[in-house]
Amino acid sequence: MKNRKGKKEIIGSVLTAFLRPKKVVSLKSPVFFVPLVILLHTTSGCFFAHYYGLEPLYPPMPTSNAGRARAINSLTPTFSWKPWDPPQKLTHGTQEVTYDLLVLIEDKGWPGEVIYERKALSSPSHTIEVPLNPATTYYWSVRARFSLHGKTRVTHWSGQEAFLLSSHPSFLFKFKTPNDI
Amino acid sequence: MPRRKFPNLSTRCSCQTLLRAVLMTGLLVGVVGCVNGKLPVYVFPLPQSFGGPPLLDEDIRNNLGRIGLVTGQAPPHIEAASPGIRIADIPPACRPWSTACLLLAIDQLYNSEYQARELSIFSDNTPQDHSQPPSEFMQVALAPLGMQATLRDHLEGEIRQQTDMAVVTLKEEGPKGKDDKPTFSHIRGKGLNTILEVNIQTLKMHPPLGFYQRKPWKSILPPGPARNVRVDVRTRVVDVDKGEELFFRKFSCFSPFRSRQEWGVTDAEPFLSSLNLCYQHLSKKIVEEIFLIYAFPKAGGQI
Repeated sequence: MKNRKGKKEIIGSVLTAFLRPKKVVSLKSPVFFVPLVILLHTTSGCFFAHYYGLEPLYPPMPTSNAGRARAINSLTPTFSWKPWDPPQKLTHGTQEVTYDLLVLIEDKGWPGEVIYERKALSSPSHTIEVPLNPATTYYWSVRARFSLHGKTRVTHWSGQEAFLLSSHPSFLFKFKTPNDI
Repeated sequence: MPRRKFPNLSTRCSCQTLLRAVLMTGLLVGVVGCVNGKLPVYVFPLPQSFGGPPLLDEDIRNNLGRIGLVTGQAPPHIEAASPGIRIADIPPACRPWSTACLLLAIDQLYNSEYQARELSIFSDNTPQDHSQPPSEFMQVALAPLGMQATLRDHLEGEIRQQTDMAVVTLKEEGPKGKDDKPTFSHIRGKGLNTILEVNIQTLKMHPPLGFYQRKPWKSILPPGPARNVRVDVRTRVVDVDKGEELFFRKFSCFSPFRSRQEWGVTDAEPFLSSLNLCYQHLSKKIVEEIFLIYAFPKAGGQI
């Protein structure tokens, strides 16, 4: 019983110390600074779209609100992305870098079937050879493919993430074709 | 006036208090984020995991040798309505297995625990007969889909297509249950160096939770109640000689959300094609993570 009371007192004093500190704690103090950094880091995805993998150039990534489709003006778009420079520690074993491209059709707000796939593209852009459907939302992604000591290796598929704070899925880049050309 | 437990706590809402509350929330959210890093990997085409165990080291990858591919020997655990249909009550249309049987199974999946929980809140008529395990009918009804073997076939094809690894399929080997983790010591010295084990652990239908209920995600939901198909797969890479687990990861595959009616149209075609898409995406993702993706440290956005 005595022990239990002690626990309550400890909890009470911790809460009191944090919520009503007797001294004024500076905002630069780790007590505030560390949670502030974590807060900004975890919520920044709500305001700024993060991406990982190769950076898309066209169709461009939305500057905010990841998951929103970017409107394009062609049914045969030319996808482009920033070329990949292998990190220095890999360059001795890495030979040619090529790219894999993937386009998926949206199915009820979700990436569905892969409708277009090209592997080992030599340049960081590709014009789609099969016209896409008008007024349709698609997802796309790209990754680098390289050879390391004779073995094929790839990077993650590029994509963007809207939220970092929970188990939300991350997203491929999304675009919407025009209604009519 | 009763004595307050914590006399220093004030109910006044000052800016400072609000700031502290916000910062506390930030800390909490950060901790939740860290915990979630241990959650299963969401499968391609949702392309990246949030943390999780590291990919295989390049040295290990280059020395995997001859690989034995195994899948779960038991059907996946199926989360379905409880209590389910008793075997004795299976309608004649379900024997032998038919589309009618599959539709009935989808009903049971769709009305899984979430629905049952909702029902029990609003009604006292929830059946109480728990004599029959809910999944028994489901195991019978979904057995013809051969989920474990189908995934294994997809995976084998994907390994052959994407890599130059020597793979042998061992149909008789594999975990006997959802959480079984065999060491494969009995196949030591039989010419196999590594075992790649995939085990579909769960098949279920999920209601939209959390952020799906909010804009803009709400717009992708059909009107009324909806569920998506979720398949959870455990993947292990085991060194046969050392009996050591080299890699362990859980992958989950999701379908779009559909209403009960939508799941059943044209002889449950959406259900079957969702499963098929999951096999494709799961096998692609597993092969990529185990054999192909180079483990760059995640720093900022760019690689």
